[in-house]
Amino acid sequence: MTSRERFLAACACQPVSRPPLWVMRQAGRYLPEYRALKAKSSFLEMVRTLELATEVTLQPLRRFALDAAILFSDILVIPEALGQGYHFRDEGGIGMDRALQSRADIDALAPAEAVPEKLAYVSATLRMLKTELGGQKALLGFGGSPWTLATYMIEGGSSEAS
Amino acid sequence: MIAYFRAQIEAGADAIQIFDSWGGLIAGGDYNAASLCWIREIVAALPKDFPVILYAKGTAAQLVDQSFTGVKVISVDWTVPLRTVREQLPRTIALQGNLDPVLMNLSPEIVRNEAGRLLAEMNGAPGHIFNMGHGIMPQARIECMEALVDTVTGWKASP
Repeated sequence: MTSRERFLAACACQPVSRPPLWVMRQAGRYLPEYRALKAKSSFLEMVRTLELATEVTLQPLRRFALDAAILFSDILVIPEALGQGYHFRDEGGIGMDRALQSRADIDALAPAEAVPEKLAYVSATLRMLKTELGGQKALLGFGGSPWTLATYMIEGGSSEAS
Repeated sequence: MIAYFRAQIEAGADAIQIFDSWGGLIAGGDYNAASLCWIREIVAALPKDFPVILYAKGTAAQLVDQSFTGVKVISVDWTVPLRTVREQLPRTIALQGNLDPVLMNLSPEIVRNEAGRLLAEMNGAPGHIFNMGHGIMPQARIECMEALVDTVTGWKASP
């Protein structure tokens, strides 16, 4: 049984000899090889560049026998594609380039139909990952829930309490 | 979100995880109208039986409602005993989780013990994806990840 088969069986509640394993934020700062890449490129460059996003996604799988890879990206690529960019504040936390404060601010966002084209790099990264994984490991995509995205878009970033 | 997830599926994603990271801020009575109803709409628009995982931190009281959104998997944070959640939710819903990520900053021995305890608690119940209850932290130790992988991949259900 491949890791991918094990993962999909567990999703379908079919019995498996042991649970599949992956770890949220498995491609992250605890890995020295991630920090080495991060020293050369910003987080946003890593997200947007096909080769870098693929490399970062695969880093934990080279080191550990995990059953799934999760796309290296951020939930805030959606507001960004709608015209509301984001950045990491020097003091920590996330800042949106502006906050949505009125109906007019919302109306000024790009139409939802523009999203897939603006995020074509995400599809390209997933395709490259699919090839790299050769069907052995499960490949996960992700996104934020509408509520959670709205909290960032209306607040203008992460708040003190977070 | 629907178009974005469809594009991810078309590009080869085997599953999609929806992060409702701030779902736990919502007053209990408003949770459905503020968050869950949109998630339900998204899941309904994706291919039938496509595995969608829902992770909403701090929503222990809402897990049963989450299981009626059409998602196949519910990712549970570290604050709830996973066995208890297993007993509350329909058998057709898989659970993901839910080791406390802070353990990964401690020692491999602690990780082996706690991961082993979680595995024993679930004892191979179908529909379990092993994961943390939240993202692994920058302070996590590589030795702890090694201990976790060894423990989970080497595990066998007791007869």
